[in-house]
Amino acid sequence: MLGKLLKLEFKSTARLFLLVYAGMIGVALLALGVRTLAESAFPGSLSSILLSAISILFVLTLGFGFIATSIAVISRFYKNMLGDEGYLMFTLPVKTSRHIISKLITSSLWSFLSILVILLSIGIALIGTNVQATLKPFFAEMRAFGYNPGLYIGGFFVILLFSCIVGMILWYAAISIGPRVTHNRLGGTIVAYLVIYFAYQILGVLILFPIYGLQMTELMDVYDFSDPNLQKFLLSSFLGVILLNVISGVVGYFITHRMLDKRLNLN
Amino acid sequence: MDSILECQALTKRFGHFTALNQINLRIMPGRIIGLLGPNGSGKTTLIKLANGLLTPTEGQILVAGRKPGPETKSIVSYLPDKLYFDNWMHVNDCLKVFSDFYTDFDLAKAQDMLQTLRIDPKALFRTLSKGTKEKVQLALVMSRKARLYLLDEPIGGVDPASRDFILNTIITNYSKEGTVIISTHLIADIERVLDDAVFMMNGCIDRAESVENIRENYGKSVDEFFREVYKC
Repeated sequence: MLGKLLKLEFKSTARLFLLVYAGMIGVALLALGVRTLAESAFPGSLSSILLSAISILFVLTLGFGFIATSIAVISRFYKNMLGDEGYLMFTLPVKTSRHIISKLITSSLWSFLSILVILLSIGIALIGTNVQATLKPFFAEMRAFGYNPGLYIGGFFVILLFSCIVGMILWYAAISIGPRVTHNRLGGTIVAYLVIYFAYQILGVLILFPIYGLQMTELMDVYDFSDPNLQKFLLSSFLGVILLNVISGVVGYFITHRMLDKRLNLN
Repeated sequence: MDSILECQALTKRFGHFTALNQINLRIMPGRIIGLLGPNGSGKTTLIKLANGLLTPTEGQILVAGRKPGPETKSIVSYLPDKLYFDNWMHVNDCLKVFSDFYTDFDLAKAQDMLQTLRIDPKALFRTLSKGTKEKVQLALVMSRKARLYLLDEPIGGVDPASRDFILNTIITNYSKEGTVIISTHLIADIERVLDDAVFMMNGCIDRAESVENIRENYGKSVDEFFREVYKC
């Protein structure tokens, strides 16, 4: 049943998100074209005006793409599970856990993809600039001190993916609690999210403070790859963030499942 | 014989409002039952509880001896008083959802019914009129070989000519081993198809008996009986 739910979810959401992502990449290509043209064909102030205009459009489009994706996946969960469509979803012979997991997989994937598309768009817009030349010595320095840049970039994306999943599940928990406030479901959802997010931040401080609190100022203000403690600090930060997200994800999932399975009230 | 639907001291409260109050009810298989009562009497709440869309405050509701869950949902065919298909869907997509998730769904039967109703399977669901959307949902629900059909106000939003069509669709298409529960306040329109009538009032079951008994004992149609007994 999970496979069928995933198929339905992707079919329901793909057209919107693919359109948004295509728009973001399209604007990146436009930015690249305008920059190339402005630099070669237009002199002085006209070139700066064009570059400023396309930069603003580019940043706004990426921001819109990311925010639109986030709003769309959150409202999809609300509409599909607790709106009128819930009358279909909750009468399918499917366990509640399958519903939550299918939604979580698709929404996290779309959120993660939106970030990848943003990075890709920035990459496209910066083709032909000297960014690569700036990054090269940085990575060379990392390698020289025994760091593997690929590993750290991979770790960054793992944290990003975990954060997308947990970000979604915390919203799901809030959305499943919110309708308990029958006279103001939206208000209930927002208050529930604020409480959950506050608890998440507190947990974050409890887990990460022992790591950051003692070493951050020393190590991160001016990074120094020659400092042997930096690698230890980065690894413990990585594990700390993963631990924070695993605990928050499990608690968020438990709340969502409990509310939708045992205390569902579709009105 | 085991009941297909059973309520044991079933209570549902929304805040301070009691929608259902200590309901006890047993529905036996193979009957067509009218769940009758004025607006706000608790009919929809009872049906939603049977589908697991609401959680009881007290007591319990059992479908074929089980609490609502994936197993009961696989044998219950439910027509809500809501339109529940997503806007992007074509009628064919709606058929596909039923076909994918319900093993008792008869695709050929659904396609036949849509053809009779002259509904284009390639049409976008959101472009159909409200009445046509309701007919699509009814065709899908009645194309399942379910053990229990729960139809919430199936004739509530349609014109009198369509009501006959909908009732005929229900009568000619339900699985004969199955039980049909139709909730409505339009009693005169449906009483010809009913075996039993369950009267609800203010969240309580006021009376549950066969339509034959009502006609014999009171010398009245169910509609006349209801109007007389439950007049305001």
